[in-house]
Amino acid sequence: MTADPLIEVRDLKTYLFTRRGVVRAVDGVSFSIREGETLGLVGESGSGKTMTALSIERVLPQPAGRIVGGQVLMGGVDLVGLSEAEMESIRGRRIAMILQDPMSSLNPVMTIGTQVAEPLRTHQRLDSRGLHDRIKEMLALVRIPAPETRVREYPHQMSGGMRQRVVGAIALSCQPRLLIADEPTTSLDVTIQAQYLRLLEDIQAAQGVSILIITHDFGIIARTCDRVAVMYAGRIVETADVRTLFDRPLHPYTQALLESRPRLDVRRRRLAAIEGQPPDLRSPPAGCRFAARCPKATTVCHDRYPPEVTVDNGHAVSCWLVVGGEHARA
Amino acid sequence: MHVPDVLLDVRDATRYFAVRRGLWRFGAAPTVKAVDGVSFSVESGKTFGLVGESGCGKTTTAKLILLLEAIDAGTIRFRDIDIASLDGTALRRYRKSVQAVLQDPYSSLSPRMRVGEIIGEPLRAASDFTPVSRRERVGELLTGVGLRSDAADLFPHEFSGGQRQRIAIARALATEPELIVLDEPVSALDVSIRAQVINLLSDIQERTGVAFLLIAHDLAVVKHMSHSIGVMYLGRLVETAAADELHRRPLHPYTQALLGAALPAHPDDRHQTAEIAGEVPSPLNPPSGCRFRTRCPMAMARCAETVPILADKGAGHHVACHLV
Repeated sequence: MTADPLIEVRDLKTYLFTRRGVVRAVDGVSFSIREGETLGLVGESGSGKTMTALSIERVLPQPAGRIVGGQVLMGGVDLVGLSEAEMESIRGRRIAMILQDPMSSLNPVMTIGTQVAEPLRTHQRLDSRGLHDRIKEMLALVRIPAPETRVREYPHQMSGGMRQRVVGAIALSCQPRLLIADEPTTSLDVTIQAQYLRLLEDIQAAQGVSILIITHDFGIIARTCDRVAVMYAGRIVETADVRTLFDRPLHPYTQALLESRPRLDVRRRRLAAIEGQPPDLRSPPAGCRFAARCPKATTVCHDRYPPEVTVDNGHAVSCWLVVGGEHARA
Repeated sequence: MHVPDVLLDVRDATRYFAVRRGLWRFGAAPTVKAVDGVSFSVESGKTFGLVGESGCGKTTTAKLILLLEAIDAGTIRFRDIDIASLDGTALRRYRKSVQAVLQDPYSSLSPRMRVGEIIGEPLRAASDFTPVSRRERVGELLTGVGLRSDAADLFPHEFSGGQRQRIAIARALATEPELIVLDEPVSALDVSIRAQVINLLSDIQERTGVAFLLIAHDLAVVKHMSHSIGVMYLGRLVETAAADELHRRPLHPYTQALLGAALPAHPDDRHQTAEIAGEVPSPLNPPSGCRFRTRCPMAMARCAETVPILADKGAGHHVACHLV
């Protein structure tokens, strides 16, 4: 793994302009993803993790969503400044998105072959023979048996697992460098989910693509990620490599989330619940956004947003307890 | 020796659905065996967890218990009385004793009713309440689930998902039931809210002695909340045991597969996960013999020939597998 970031998000701000006010969905988010790395963006619904992903692809809900600040740098180019036409050539070719629910992302009235061909027709000039070979190659890559006959089938003729693989083949057809996997909050069955995660791993091993996983589930993070960024109320509160995050979480929100999980391997009589609700992002608090729910909050936490402190190689946290505590070294 | 105080006893419960076909109907209409000879019991004050993947029949089983579906064969006995035989006052009393909390708190609460009306509605049927005493009771129920009593004047849309689930729980508690069917009670909730609701449910059980039938697909949630667990696959129960026993010593290959596919709690455990190939076959045409055999890594010839019966392996651990 090289140290060069494939993509760098700097101080990204994405607001939703609604009739009921301006929602600061993403409010100053920075992170980078290296070549071949899997980064997990973990947070609850409304934390801004999906809006961050949609901002990178520039497919925000219209007309409400707008990027109001920051940069998304990829190969020296700021994607935020690109025209829609220029962005078209990035989507699908450099950055692809894969959804966990294959039914919502496949067209029921188009054959599998036509759907896998679509991004290839858009981005690559291939003659019909080349296109055909490429489609079969992609279906074989995601381990779909008998691709020659499968290309003529429709989504309803395939099982759920096969459809997931087709979605994978479409996403990978133009060899993107970044794959964004957004997991919906409604869960899949455990055995189907395990197959999906294995597919992501296979894809990464075969193509060396970087993956951004959007999830609320620490189990998925533990299973797949190299590094993790924890989001709360529109901001990243902690970033670390996956083992450090599980072994030595520093932000009280990360600690509380990890403690509140029911676990198969540990017997707990009571779960450590986080009381209260996340703040309204139309008028976020001036200080730390978790302060109202944080058992360790002090006056400064309510007054000012804590600066990000790097405590260790790549372990960064925004919390006044760390700023003032023994961990500080920045 | 622990003498179980059986509240609900489900014996060989079976529910078939006829599949409607088009204009050209030849031969018998195919049937889906949604629940096919399921037996388990729920003890007073305890939680029985039912796990399995979608389509395994766990929700249909719940509907049989709630009398929302008619049973085709087998019996469900509540306090030793067959619920299919209930009518009149006895039926009304049963409906009060058995309540439900469903998965989605956005669709299970009427958007046009104030919270006070939603929770108070089951109390209207009980004649011993005046409007004033009913309002008092609603207030008690709300504070009992961690909401303020003035929440009664608001509409469901004014609450978050976790608060709505608290309202649904308060409504279920209104009739002082002995059993609450919890169908995926926390799967629609955010992680930080999930723990609040799970803790609330265990507090309520401790306080009121209500029994829960918990239906969920998340093994960690089921293990945390349940005293005993039943694992379902394609309409049949394949294993039942005490919660700890099931995790320490899963005997059925499907239970082992479910536990193997569960997400790791720590990145160091990620290599212990193992998934099973394939998907649940169509319930219209289930495999002969053991229904799991098409995905079972240890299937033998016998598994296709005879249906394994749920047999006692000691200490209340039952499993339906020819290997064991």
